[in-house]
Amino acid sequence: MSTLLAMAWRNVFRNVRRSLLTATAMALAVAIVMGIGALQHGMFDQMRDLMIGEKLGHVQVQHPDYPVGRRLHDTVPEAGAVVEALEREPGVARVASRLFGSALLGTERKTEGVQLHGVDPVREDALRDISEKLTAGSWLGEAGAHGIVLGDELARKLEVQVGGELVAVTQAADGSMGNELYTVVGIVDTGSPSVDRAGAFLHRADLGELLVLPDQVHEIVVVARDHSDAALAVALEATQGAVGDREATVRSWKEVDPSTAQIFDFQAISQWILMFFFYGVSGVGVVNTLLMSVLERTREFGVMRAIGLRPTGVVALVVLEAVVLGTFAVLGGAVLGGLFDLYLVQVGVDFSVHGEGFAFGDLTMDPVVHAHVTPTNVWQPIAGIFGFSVLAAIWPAVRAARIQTIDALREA
Amino acid sequence: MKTVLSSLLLLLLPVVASAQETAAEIEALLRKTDDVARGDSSIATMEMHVKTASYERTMKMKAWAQGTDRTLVRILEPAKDAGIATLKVDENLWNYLPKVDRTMKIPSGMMGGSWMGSHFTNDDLVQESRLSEDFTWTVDARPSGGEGQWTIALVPKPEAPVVWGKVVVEIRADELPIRTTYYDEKGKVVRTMAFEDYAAMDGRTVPRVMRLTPADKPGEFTEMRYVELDFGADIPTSTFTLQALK
Repeated sequence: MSTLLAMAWRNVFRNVRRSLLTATAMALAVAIVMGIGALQHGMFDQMRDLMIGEKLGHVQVQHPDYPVGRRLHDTVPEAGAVVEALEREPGVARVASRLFGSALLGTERKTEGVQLHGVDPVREDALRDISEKLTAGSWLGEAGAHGIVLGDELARKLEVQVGGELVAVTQAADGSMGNELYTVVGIVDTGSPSVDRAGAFLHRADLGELLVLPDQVHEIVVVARDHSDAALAVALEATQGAVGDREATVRSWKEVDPSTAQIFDFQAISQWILMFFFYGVSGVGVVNTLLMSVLERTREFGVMRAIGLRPTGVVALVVLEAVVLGTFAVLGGAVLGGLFDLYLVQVGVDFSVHGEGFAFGDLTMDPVVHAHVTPTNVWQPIAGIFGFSVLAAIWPAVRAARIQTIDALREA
Repeated sequence: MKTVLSSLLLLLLPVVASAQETAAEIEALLRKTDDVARGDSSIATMEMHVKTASYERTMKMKAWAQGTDRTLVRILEPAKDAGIATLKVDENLWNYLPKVDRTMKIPSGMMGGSWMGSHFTNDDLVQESRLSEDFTWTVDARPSGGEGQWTIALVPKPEAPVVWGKVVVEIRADELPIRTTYYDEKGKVVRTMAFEDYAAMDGRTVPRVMRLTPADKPGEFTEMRYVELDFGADIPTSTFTLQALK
């Protein structure tokens, strides 16, 4: 065996240029699959963070009728207790609760119909870093302070600045005319066009008071420890436990938004397509190189057979040549791919069109995508290219094993 | 042949005459329906009872009206809403909110919204259309000898500011309204306004109760009941200003 390995080693370096070219192509394939895989991973991570972090969460709790009618009265009761119970769960990373209401918001001169978002200021900020998106003023403070944060477009339409006073009028849950005076504490550019145009944030308790829905919310959003299915299952169970027998449904984000879930399923498929394309190309290169080298060495194989090498030995020799070639290629590819990954992680790729971020649903994504390298991203292309090249060697190897000693020697 | 024709004409003559007589009569009838419980000016105390799937509440309010152009409504009860007022001048609508001491004009986009949590919309308060002016009518039933009732189907004139496809009014033989049914463009019933409890108030017989029932929300209704009604009161025009609203 060690003799065979030594021979394979020597054979690979007999035609240095050919071997180098093939190895380079394979190395490039490894590097490209590594880099693009990591970039795609980074992009889908960003989309996932946006979708799940900003909007859906991994798990949602709502009144059973709320998803259908979005009616004011369909709330989850005792929201404070549920949120606190959830925060004690180890399988839950973050929790936020939201109460929504439409209202007339304005001054004596200007009024607009708006969607009010009642949030837990600290939890909401922990979830989506909303305070970093403020264009003026500050994020919401304590309940009872009657502070309000406006979407930037809405603030422009209402002609108000930070410090300005606004009246909100709405039909409360008990049928009364809820009305209250609020002070603009901040202006925010969330990146979501509908929120920026007609959305305003206030403390959940303040909105609950306005709408006469004390300690009630329309949705509780739970973020699991990570995006994996295992973490989702843990978070789902924990949420179900915290909700108990209150009248509420607990759903995973995949149930809440199946179309987005499909987009993420497509990620896996496209990754496979990409991988097999590159593996195939590199496999064909290996076949070509080894086939050429086998055909050139017909006489040599004839002699080897004549002096007693069995056909299995010939197969082993050619496959070992592929192993040697593949090892060099994959090592080079790992180094190259590592550098490529490093660049994509550090610098990223700017996908912006005219300097604008691109929209994903009603959310706007950061146009610069940074790669996210996972162990799978590294070992899969390495194992894949290596495996495919060894597999590709079988045909030339069998071909070499079939060489008849007499014919081979006569041919020469 | 000529005689046949002239006798036919003769036969037709009384029919035409009675129809013309009805036209003036019908228009007067519709005018009266338009102005039921509404004089040149009036001051009314009302109770509004609203029942919806999620709440049921009663409000007491006082309303001042000058013709159809100016109306001021102020909530008296319950305490939580007391002092909230709505001022209507022509097509404009303002709400005064005593808790925050602010007046807000209802933007045109919100005119379809509920007024004070009832089934009436803001639009209902400002709409200027009159059955007697903005509709063409056909009489489907008429009373005879003090028995039966009027049933008049009305279709809005093309340029009329009306959102309904058709309106059917039912009126008693003594010219008091029974029911108005509102249809959409597709001929589906949208809502029904029923009149009840006819009684003499300040020298006029009026239905004291108006009940609005939306067709798409079973079990829900808004009922307005006149507690006091004072016709022909002298209300200064300054009542209907933003200053007076506060």
